[in-house]
Amino acid sequence: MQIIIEPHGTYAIYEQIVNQMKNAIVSGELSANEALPSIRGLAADIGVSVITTKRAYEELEREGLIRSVANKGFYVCEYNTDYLHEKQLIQVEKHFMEVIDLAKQAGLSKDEIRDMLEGLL
Amino acid sequence: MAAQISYKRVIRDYFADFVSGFCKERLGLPVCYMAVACPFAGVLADFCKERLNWLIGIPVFFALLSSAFHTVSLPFMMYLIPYSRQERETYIQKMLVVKVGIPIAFACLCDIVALFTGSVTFYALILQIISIFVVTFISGMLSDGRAGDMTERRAYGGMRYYVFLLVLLCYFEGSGILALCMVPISGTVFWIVIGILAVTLLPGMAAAGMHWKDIRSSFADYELAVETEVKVCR
Amino acid sequence: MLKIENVSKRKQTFELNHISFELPGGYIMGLIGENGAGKTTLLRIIAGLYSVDEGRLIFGGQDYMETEADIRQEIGVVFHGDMFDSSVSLAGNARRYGSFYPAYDENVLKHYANLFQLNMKKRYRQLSKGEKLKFALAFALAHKPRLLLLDEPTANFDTEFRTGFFQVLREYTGNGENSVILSTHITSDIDKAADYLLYLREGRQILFGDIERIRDAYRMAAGEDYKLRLLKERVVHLEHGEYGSKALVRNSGSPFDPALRIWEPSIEELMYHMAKGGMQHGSTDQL
Repeated sequence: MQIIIEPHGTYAIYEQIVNQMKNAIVSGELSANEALPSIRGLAADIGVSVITTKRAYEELEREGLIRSVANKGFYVCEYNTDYLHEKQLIQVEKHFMEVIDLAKQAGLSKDEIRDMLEGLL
Repeated sequence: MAAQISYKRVIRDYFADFVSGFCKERLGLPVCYMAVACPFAGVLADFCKERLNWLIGIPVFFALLSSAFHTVSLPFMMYLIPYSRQERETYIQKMLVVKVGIPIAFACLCDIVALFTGSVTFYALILQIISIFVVTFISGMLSDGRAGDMTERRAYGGMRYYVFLLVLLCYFEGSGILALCMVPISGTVFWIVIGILAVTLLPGMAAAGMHWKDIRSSFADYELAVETEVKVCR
Repeated sequence: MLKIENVSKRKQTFELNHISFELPGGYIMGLIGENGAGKTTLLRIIAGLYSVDEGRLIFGGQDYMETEADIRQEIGVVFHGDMFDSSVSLAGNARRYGSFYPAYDENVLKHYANLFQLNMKKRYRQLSKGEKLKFALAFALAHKPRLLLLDEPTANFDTEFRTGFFQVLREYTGNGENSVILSTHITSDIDKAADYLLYLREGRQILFGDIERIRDAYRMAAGEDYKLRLLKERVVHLEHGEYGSKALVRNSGSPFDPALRIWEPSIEELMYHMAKGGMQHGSTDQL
């Protein structure tokens, strides 16, 4: 799989790695129990620091998407694609709720919120 | 680790330094030396015509080149290689011994040959050896291949002006001695010359020699050794 | 593997004050700062060329003061200026100085000399500046040190070599034990390769930390002036542009005003705004 980093994107570099890997897992590009590139290998490939890839892997591990095996590296966890996708949807919904709350606090109407969303998409 | 600084290594580096220390600017001092000997060129030419008398000049020439191309300061990499400060000092010390020793050893060899083949007097040879010794000893201790005022540099333990002048005197007297080698001299003259040399050279050389420990210690320290910006060659 | 504790050095022409950091094995540390910030001085101190007025240096658990020669074996140096003997060939130089290192391996030197396209028969003085640096690097790698010190080499490398150069550094640190300190003023080098960052200004330490923590600690915010001002003391430096303002802001973790555009600063932005913002020196800004 290819990981492409946008250096000045809205997301931190490690977040971009996490997201792209997540998508790859959900879409099936990375299959269950597949071995992932090493932290150093990935860092060398993309052209970022090992600290960054380490952080990305730790984040993915925390979310239960990958697991580390001592002396061997990282592997994709067994998962249910639908379950993962649903998890992502829950996250999106959660963030939407937060935004809607903020918008309401700022005194925006439903239409104004919709317009703003359209504008940003 | 100190065992590693064998004379073998120092001697190897000594000969290697003839190449690495080479650069045109460094020929200054030997040229000075020879300039003093020039007035005696006529006598020199006559002298050399007889048998193998020119043998007497070869060791001197070698000593001059040696003093020109060797410096008391170490090349940059020597401060990076795994030597402790103590080891660097030992290296500098042994290098001084080599810088004086080898020209003199070479001179002795040539002299033995000259004694058997030429009409060179024993006295002349003694004076030659003294000349070589003075030149290599002084330059061995003080020459660091840099232009500029030696007395100001901390690397020289803050040598004072008068010491510097004594040193210069030694250098020129050394060339004067060489001139004397060419002239047949009697025993009395020889001893008078020795006497004059002892009185004029020894104080200068002793004064310089007293600074040696400081000089050696300073050159073992990178910061002190490279303080002066003006550098000639290396 | 390298610990610098409160190191200071004061001379007539420069000063280095209270530098403290710790670099573990297996990482590349970028040393950045403007010219005259003290980068070269610090590298010379770590190389053992300069003494310090204050502080301690500990390498692999050994204090510098006690084990000078042993430490030097483990440190490889790539500096500007003529490191080697001018009239001698590269092979001659390598032979002469390699003999002082017990771990020196001629085959490793040959490997890198080929990789860097160096002609070992050439005399040192015939090399270009970039080639001299390459030779110094090849030689340094050949005696298998645990720490590599490089003083602004990348400015003299062409773009083609630079990629290979970072690869070599990554390979070198790949064993998880060797580390590199690379000083540079080319900020894209840092973005590409640095795991840790030390930012010096006027002889003082402004920032030290691993690259993720540093990136986390700050954000660039762009948008309307008054919204930026609302961030008050979190703002390091605010710059007014024609179409709006932008500022370097300390990241406190709380969400930003959604009207502002937020992004992680690049090293260049970080340095630029910190320099303009007159960052206070000292440990308050260390991470």
